[in-house]
Amino acid sequence: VSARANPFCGPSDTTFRFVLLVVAAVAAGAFAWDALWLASNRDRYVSTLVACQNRVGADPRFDPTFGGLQDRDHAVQRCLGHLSREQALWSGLGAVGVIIVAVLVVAALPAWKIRRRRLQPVAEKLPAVVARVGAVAAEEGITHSPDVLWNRRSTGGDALAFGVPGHYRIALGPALVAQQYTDAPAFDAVIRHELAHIANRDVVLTYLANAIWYSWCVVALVPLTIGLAASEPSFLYPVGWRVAVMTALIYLTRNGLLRAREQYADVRASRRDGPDGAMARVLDAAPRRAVDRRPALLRWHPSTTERLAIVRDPTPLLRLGVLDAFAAGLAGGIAIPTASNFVLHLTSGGTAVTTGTAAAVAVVGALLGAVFGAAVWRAGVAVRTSGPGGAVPVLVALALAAGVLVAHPLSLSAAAEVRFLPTTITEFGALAATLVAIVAVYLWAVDVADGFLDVRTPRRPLMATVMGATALALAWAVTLGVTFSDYASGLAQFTGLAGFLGFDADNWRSLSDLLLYRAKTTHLDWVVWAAVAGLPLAAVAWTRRRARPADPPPAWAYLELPAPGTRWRRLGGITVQPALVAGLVGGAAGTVVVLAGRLVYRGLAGDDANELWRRVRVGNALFWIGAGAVLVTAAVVAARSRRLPMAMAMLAGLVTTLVAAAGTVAASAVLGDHLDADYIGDLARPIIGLGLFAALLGASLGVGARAVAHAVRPARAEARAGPVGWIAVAVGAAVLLATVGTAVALAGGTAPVAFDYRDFALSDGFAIVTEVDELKREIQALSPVLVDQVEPLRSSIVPKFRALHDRAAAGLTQTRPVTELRERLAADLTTAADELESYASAVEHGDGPGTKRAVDGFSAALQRIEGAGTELVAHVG
Amino acid sequence: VPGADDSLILDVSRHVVSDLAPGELEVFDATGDAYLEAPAGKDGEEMLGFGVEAVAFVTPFVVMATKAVVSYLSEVVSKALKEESDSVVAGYVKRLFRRFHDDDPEPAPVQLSLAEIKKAREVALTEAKALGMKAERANLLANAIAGELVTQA
Repeated sequence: VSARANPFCGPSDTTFRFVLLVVAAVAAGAFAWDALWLASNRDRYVSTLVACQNRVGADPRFDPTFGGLQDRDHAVQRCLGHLSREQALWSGLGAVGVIIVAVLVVAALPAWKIRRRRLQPVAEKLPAVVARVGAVAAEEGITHSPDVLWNRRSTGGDALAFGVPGHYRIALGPALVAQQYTDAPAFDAVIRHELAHIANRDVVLTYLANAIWYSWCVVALVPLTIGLAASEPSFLYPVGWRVAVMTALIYLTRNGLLRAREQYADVRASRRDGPDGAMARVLDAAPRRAVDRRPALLRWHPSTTERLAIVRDPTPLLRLGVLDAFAAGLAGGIAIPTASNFVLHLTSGGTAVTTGTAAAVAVVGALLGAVFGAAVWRAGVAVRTSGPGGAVPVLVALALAAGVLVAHPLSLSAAAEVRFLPTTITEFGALAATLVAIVAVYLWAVDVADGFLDVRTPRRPLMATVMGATALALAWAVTLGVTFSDYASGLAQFTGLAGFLGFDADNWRSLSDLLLYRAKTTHLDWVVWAAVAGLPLAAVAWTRRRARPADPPPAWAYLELPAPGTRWRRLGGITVQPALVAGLVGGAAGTVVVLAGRLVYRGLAGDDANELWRRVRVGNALFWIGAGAVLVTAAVVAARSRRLPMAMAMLAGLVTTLVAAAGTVAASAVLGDHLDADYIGDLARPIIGLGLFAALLGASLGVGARAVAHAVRPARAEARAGPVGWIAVAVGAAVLLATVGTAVALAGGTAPVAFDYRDFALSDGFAIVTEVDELKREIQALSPVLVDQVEPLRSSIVPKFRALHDRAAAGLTQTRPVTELRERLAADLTTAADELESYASAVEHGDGPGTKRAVDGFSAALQRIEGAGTELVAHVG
Repeated sequence: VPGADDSLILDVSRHVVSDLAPGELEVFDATGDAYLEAPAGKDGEEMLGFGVEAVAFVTPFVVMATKAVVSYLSEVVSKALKEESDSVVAGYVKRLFRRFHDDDPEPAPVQLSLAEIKKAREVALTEAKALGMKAERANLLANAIAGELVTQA
């Protein structure tokens, strides 16, 4: 008989589900009271918001372009001030209220339970029973034996542990007490089970979980229902169904926790006499009529069949299931926007408005990351002790991402906007990038755990490293996701784009903006990438110094001592060379593609300044093609690596990116570009930033492909490809990508005219037209004495018109229609300045007809400028 | 139970328990008297309990069934005493005049008929089943209590 896997090798499922429950309940409580506040203050909020937006919009100190969006948003938040803080207060009250009420219930519960069930000390009548419980407690290492209570009038035979740390109690049914005299081993097994709850430290967690459920109903559900019933029906449905989903999540997570704790207690209780001992006998003898016919998710206890199976083989407890991952994604997806909104409202008007929200999101991400870190650690132990099984990591990762995706429309802001899904390709891209990052972080965490498990001891530091690394990585991923989402929703305010699937030039431009924004605003990519590739490999290096494959497995991984000769299962050796070779090949291919792109850029796009968009598009396409090379390399490496596929793929992607970045810089030098630090930085940062994401996506796809291949044809999936095969695949894919990418970049499509209008209008056009309006008013305010007009015209107004001309002439436009508009505007501004100069001269020389001609010419120029303004407004809105 | 003797119920129950589940005797001494009142039941389904109950515990069933049987027997005796009260009173008065009737036998104690013993068994069986005992064990319990009615000390 092989030794059983030890489910106590890390934090248990009970803890996992408890954290999820708390996260979900706190977020849902905040959501409910936020909605309650909105339901009763909607009109006041909307009118104040509109007033604030108008006030900020009319304030000339704020940049009206997209670049000034964040400043304007903060200004609106400051303007909302006390209203936002009031909303935050309600939201916080809901979150804290759910927990505080639950804690109070748990504190009062022992006394209430004793009173309601009329429990008395067993010692008064049967001191021998108490002595036996004390002896079993001592055997289980529990120093303070719990009080043993019963209700003599009860006919029951159940047992129940309750109380608080330092003062636990066990209530026994008289039938169970009788069992001590009729079947002592069975009595001991049940007592061990109850003591196991104490040893597992799940008693308070369980009662808290139960209390949280009731607290949620009383503190959040009831007030919200009353509030919604009194509010507009239009608010009832969007908030109502979201609250229903949250209620289901809390209820089902609570049930999951209750089931998990029983299984862990069964296993701990079975440690003394093994998988076929008294505990198994008690479960096996359980009356079959007691079978719970409710669906598994609704049950409080697992079936005795399931309990018996877990006692005999606890391995399933170590593996993370798809449902748990989905629930975690859902809880996180609900909590993150809630935490972000709460901090945003709370810090409204303060300087912490930006960092506060990011910190809140990072904290929630890190908390969930730590929980997932523990889960992958445990799953790794299961693979080592019992072999592969359960849901494959990529499926679990997808379930996690699916939870986040499903949670996306659950936020209150989504309820207010009645928007379920992204409406622009940039928002879609932001969401997709977030999901990819989450999937990749999970798969990477699996590798980290795999690497550190090879080291074997000491257990706690190794496990803490895995949990800490996963926490940091998930915090990074979700913070990045929120940043992306904020950017994309901000951009959506400026442009309504066509569907996702069309290859409209404006859509391409929108995604390029997202990437450029990413490249410009992050300095962490190197650190993240180095950690992502380095951490699992560091574990490998550590292992090679400390442990040999022939070493015995660590005792902490088993409930019983493993038989002599038991091997610590490894899934194959780790070799870094193929990843390095693939990276070099991928990087070289990427360089060739970029070089070819530059030649295409020169040869085909031409130098027509009116069609600059085509050159911009080719330039952007080069980044995409480079990213494609990284993606393909990472995917191939991940798919072909038996061990640490994510780490190997990230290493290959890093090498690809470094080689491609260096090659691109070298190619630029060869093609005559002037290289300086800024130029190299501008070139390299987007490549690295985009490459990181491409590698994460490619590696995830590769792991997924491997899982599918393994499911379809296991033998073939395990076959190793030689280096030649790797190179052939990488080069072939890079060439294909290059061809497709360049063709897409150059072929057909419409010019991004709408974007061009928008950019020019927001950067220069509107400002010029507004300034001309101001100048017009200045002219109208000049002295009616003609000679007195000459000096201010020459000293102030004419130079201002000329400065406006210079600004228009220097404006960046990419398409022919906008360029022509810009050129017309510049010409008219010059004409206006010239006519004013002529007017001044004519006045000085007393030339009446000349004065009239100049006025007519100036008026015509002014009309044309106003026409240009109207055209801009018509295109931008 | 009017006239019922708690100690009689407990004495009979202890005999029955010693036959059916001798291991429970110690628990019987600690809990038996508690079941003279209506038992508190099983406290409902315990969400956070062990989840699997001990299968055999006869003490509360024995006490409650014995209590029902004693109650029934009290009724039988009361009825018999009422029917025979006239002749019994005359007999006792007659016996007061000893010199005339010194050799008359004492009035016979109330004797249970076979039908009444069967009825007492039926009462025990019904009570045990009503309390939730399985039919097989309830039969054993009813037999044991009925046995107490026919067994000589």
